[in-house]
Amino acid sequence: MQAKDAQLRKGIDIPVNVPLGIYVPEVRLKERFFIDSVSAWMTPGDDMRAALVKAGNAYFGSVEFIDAEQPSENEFAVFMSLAPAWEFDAGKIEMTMGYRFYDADGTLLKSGKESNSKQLGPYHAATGFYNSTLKAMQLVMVDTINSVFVEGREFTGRSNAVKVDRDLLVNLDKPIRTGTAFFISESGQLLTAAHVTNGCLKSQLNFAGAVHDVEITGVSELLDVAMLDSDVSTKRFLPMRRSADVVLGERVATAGFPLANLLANSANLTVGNVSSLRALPGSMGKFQFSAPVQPGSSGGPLISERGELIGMTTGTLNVAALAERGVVPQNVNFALSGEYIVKFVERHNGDLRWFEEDETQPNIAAVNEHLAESVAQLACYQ
Amino acid sequence: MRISNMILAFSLVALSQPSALAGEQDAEAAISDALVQQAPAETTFETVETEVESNYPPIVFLSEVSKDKLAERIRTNPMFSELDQDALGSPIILRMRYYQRGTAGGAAAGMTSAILSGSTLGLIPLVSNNDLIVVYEFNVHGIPVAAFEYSENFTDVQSLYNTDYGLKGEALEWAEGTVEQFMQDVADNPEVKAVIDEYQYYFGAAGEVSE
Repeated sequence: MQAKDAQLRKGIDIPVNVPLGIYVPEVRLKERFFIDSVSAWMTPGDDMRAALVKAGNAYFGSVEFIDAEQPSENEFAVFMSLAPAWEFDAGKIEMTMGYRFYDADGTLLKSGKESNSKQLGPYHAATGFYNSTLKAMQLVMVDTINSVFVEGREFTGRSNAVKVDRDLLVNLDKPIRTGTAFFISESGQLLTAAHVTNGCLKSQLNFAGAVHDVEITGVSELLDVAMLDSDVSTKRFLPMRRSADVVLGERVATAGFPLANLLANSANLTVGNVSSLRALPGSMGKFQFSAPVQPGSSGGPLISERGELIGMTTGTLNVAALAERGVVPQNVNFALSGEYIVKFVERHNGDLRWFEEDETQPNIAAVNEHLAESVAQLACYQ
Repeated sequence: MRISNMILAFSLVALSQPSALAGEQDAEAAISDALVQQAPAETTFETVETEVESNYPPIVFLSEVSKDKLAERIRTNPMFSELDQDALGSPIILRMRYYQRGTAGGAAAGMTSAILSGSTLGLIPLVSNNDLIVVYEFNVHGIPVAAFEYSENFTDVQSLYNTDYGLKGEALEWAEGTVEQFMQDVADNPEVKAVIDEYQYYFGAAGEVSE
């Protein structure tokens, strides 16, 4: 099933019978999006996966998908990290497949990208995704085999999804999402929202102009909070209020890195007040506040006027959805209460500092400056 | 009240920022859009008492069939005693859904039946054969924790001119009956139990908040 414009060198027979491992970011396999031009929702993951299996079997003889979340010990001799991307224009799918090709020892043998376009219509979208992926993979595999499978080279080593180095799989070109994290002690420990770190193969902190790898050391999906360890040593951290209470109406400030693609990469600081001690019915450990937040603010700290940590931003009402019904909510945002932050950190043996009276900043400007310097942008990669 | 709460809860969005494709929308937004359309425009914001003082968590129950009947049965397990349609701020959702999966024999027979039915202008009814799959999904903040799947094969006979959608008759009865097996399976499930234990650590009577 060779593509017409992708010819293997003479003397190479396919399949080459070298077990192939394939890694595709989970977010690409599970994504669902709306395309305006055909007015339809698209879920290309299954079609893409089927095309990858087809191409892999045809050229390599067997394919093993590398699942980073639930790794298996099924072996492969070479592996590819793929970075598929779609663009849609004038009724066509433009498919670009970035790839890096390694042997079992993790030596990079080949990298590059291939593109092609196929027709896209509302009634044959699946075919379009399948065909464009298949064509792109044919080009990738022919290019790879022609370059790598030279006479005398053998692939006797074996690896599997458990052993393979995650850093070789992850695509660091673009994060799949960003959020905010904040330091809770001088040892470099941070907190953020669990939904920022979910499914990350690698998480990196952008702090004070430098990038740091972080390790996730505790997660509570129930509370929507995660704890991170970093190699940062800082005096800029946020000590916890000693009393578990927040006061209805008290002034609060939050800082974060919202709208990462739009705004400059510096902390945004907003102020408001505690607008309700409760949140939605059935919510767990949340209260409501009014300081404006945007996508990217998740995991940001909420502090009092004195600089005490009292909560963490977790969510807001969906303004767009409600606006369609003629209701425009204003600054109805939710934070995890400090008392549950304390319990979470204790449960995961974290390193929390309490607010001391002598830590009171001389004025609000100093409080705000300290807040802005205690937060970092968190990027999640797959 | 119930509908207004539904709007509020399903309109709750997380604030991490996805790297978006052109024209991309969040899948959850689509769900909330759909639900919002069922709601009255005069919806008002109400903040209501939220945290439930119980050793068991408030859990939202969504079901595509016989919701009240199934909820009543599921509540008999203490873990699910706070199953509450109004607790839509809860991060825990138990969802029962069903779908049909074609069988190889069913596809061949169905094609033959469709040809026969069409050639007799509908005098002979359509006969189809599919596996009916019922799934109970237990999610926390949208993250799958556990899923329980049950299946049964059914043959259906329908008139070409009176196609009826949804479950009915024997299939509906079987789907409702899966709740008994689900109750047995979920009682021993370690992942679900871990979520309940975590809730009790943070919110249960034994888990008093320390300073």
